[in-house]
Amino acid sequence: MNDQPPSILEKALSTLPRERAPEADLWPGIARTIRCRRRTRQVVASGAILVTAGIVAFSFGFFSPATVPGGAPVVGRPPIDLAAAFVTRVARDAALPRPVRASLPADLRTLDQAQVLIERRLARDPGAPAVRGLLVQVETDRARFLATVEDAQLHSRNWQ
Amino acid sequence: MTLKSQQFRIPPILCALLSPAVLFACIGSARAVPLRTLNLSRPLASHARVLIVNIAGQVTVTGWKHPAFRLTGTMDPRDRLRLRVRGHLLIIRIMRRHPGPGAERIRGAHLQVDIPVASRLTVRTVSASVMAQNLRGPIRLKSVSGSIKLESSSHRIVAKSVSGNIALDGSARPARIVAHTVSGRITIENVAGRLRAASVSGSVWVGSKALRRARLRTVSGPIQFVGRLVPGGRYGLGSVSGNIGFAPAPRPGALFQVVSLSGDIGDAIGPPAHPRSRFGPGEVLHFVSGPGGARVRIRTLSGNIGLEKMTKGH
Repeated sequence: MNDQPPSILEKALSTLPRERAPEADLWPGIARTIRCRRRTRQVVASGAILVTAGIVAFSFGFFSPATVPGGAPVVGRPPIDLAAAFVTRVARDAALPRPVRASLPADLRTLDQAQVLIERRLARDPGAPAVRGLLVQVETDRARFLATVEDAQLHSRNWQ
Repeated sequence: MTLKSQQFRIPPILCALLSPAVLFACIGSARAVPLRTLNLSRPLASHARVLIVNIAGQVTVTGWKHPAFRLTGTMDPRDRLRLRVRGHLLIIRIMRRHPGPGAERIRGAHLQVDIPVASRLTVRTVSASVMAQNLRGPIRLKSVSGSIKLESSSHRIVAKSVSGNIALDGSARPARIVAHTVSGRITIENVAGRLRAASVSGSVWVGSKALRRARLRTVSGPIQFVGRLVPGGRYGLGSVSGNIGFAPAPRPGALFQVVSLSGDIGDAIGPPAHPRSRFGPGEVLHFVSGPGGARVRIRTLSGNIGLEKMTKGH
């Protein structure tokens, strides 16, 4: 059955071209599409990271004592507070008299509470010069307090 | 009868009672070491610089007219006295020899120092209290937990402490005075010139008739000012949560600017205060009381302010 001579149709088919060159170069378009998909993925990933970070930050901020709505005057500074760490270390220092060691953390808490109160007030009333003045005053007091504590510690050690 | 039964045995209860007694007796014998008595005097320039450093006990400095100094008092024999005298310089320093766990039991040095009236005095202590009187030169007193008391006519006074109280009485006219504490009380009276006093949680009380500039600040402690306002004077009182009392002499010639952001203003010398806003807390009071040109600025965040007439009770 296969030994029959090719038909006219088959001859015509064999004369047809086996390849056909594209009329235009398609690669740039393909490359652009791939790049676009990669960029979309990057944007989505970055967005997801940002949203996650925002949720985490919001959760910590929401549950931190500094923003408890209607709560008592806030006790506490941001988690990493060098001043608090310094005063705590000094308060453990046996070279200082006992009443000083006992009162230092309380005084730092007083300053912290004052600062939080003023910042809350400033958030409600940003234009009040009196509030700004008080904030400057508390910052000055804080700096002076830390300088005094450091000075007292140095002197009490030097004299022993 | 066995030998054991013949031996003298102390009952355990008696042992338990006796052992603390023996311990206290040992401590008592250690404390019974006689104090070292000091009695030194040397010539010193009339405008000398004097530095006195002590740890515990007391330092009393008195000015006299002689060009010499005299040191008397007692000190723990385990401490060491370092004395340096060179014409215009006198240094008296008590050094502790035995720091450590028992350091707080060591008795301090009680020093009485007489120096020329015009000397420049600096005293530094840890827990020793400081008293100075009858001095005219610049004075600088610093203590950690000891109290500071000064009666002088000096033109430059600096007193600083952490938890000790500060009491200043008298100054030159005019003088520059600085008093800072963290948790101690500040009491200042009969001073003139410029004053800056600040405390974190301690109170500040000032009574004066000749202060040209006064700047009183606290964070949570109360402030009280009683006295006469000088024409052209400037008076600033500020606190975060402490109450402020201001009692000037009758007919004060001044511009008053008083703000309490959350507290009340009680006013007995001017018009009534009015609220800061229609619905929120806080009161404001601005008024002029007679001529004179003095300016009084009082502000507090959550404390109350009282403007009162000065009475004999003040």
